[in-house]
Amino acid sequence: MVGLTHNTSSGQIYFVSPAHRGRADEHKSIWVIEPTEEIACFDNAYTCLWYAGDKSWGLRIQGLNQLEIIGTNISRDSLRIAKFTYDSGQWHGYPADVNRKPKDRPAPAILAKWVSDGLISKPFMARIQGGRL
Amino acid sequence: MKPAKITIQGDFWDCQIYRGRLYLWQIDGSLRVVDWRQLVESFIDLPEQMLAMSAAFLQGRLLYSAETHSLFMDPELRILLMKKFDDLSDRMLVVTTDQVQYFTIGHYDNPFKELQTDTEILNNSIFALTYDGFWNVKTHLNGRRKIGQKTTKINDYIGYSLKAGKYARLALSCGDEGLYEYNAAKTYSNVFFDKDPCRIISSRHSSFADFNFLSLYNSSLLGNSFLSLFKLPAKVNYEEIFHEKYLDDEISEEKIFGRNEENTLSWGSNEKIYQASGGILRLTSFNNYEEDGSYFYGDKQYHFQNWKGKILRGGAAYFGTIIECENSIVVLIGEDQFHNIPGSATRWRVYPRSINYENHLHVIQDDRLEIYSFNHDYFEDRQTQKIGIIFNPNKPVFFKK
Repeated sequence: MVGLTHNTSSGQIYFVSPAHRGRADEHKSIWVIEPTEEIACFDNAYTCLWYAGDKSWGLRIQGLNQLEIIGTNISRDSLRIAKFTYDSGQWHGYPADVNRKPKDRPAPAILAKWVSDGLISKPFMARIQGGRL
Repeated sequence: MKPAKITIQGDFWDCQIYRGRLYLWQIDGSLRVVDWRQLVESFIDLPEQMLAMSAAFLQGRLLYSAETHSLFMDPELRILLMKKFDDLSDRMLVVTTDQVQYFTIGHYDNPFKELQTDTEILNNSIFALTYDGFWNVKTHLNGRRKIGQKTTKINDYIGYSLKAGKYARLALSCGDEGLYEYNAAKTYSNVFFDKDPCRIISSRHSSFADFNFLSLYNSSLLGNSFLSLFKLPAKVNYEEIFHEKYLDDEISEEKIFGRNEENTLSWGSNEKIYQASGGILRLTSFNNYEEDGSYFYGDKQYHFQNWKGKILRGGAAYFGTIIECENSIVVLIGEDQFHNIPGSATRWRVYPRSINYENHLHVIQDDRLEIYSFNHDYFEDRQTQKIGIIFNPNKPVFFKK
């Protein structure tokens, strides 16, 4: 499954990148969820229209502001938001390090949608934007 | 003494106050400009309410002027004035969503096109950090339109926090990209005209930062906060400070406080550096110009309740220090004196650089903006060591202990 492309139920092609699995690259964040769960996370994000241009962000959520851990960064800190990018006709993704890398943060419009959908609160949105997750 | 409070109902994302105008960024993507004086004066029903209302919300500088201080030292006047502030604190001052329109002098699309990460106002310009870079737009215009038509991109830097300091400087905290300082002064001397107004302070992780005179304190939520200690060559003029000051040392939080425990956060502002951890706030004073290297003095320790969750941010004002936790904002104003604002806030701001709003704390909650006014400083001995930063009305460029 890893290193292969998959047709998702939302009609997209998704590539499970080996670079974000098993410390193949020590400079990249890695998933702690299974490849099937990674694909489902992307599929849900795309279906919910959580994308802006060629970028999309996904969550696995248990309740208001209760984001599941989906990966770890190079310092082994827990990561809770997935970032997906579209390139050459396919998507791939990785756990976003929103506290270290401002560019990894979900776009404000996506965060506002998560707020209006009741997934996160407005203070929680501000924490994500401010790198204080 | 309880703070006074004005509540403005609405769904807000950001706020600023500047030269009599309150700027309210709404979650719907608009920016409302409010005539602050008109709004405050609408709560004055009787002449005897005017002094406390005006001192609390319109003329904060009265708190710190020498002339006013002598008045407040008169025992009879103190009793009378304390009662006026107590009466004000007991009042429920609320502006509804409909009422705020009455005080609105401009309502526009957000000039930054998105719900920005952070803002500051300097020299009649609003500066903003967005996902697309660092921007500014003119403000405080007197024509029909109060905000400039044209928003200008300064550079491509994106980050988590923007903080203004004296002499038109801005600190940009950019996470793993580091900490930068931007010179927002309108004019540069000829010598420095062609130099980049943005310089890197440190390439280490930065969550937020503030100025300690020439130096900057870099706070990192990932640990390893530190002071970037800057110095000046002799005989440098005001205009040359930005380009002439040089980095002398990076002093770690551990070196300043002698310890660095888990879940600790430290921050600095002016002559104070704070460290919060496990219900204890440590404070040390800082002198940028000490020549023998003993920059830190007067350590103190305060206690606060630590049920409020992880510490997310800290800041300082003249009236005290502010500790943002997951479940509450704590304002420490003295030994065993604190004010809790329960719940997690979207944003809070203090305005120590301003003239007249130094005693304000603005807190954006889910469905309202709360504007607190802290007035206990009127009745304090100004010579004693304070928990907040020290007000110095005639502070020279080159501060000496």
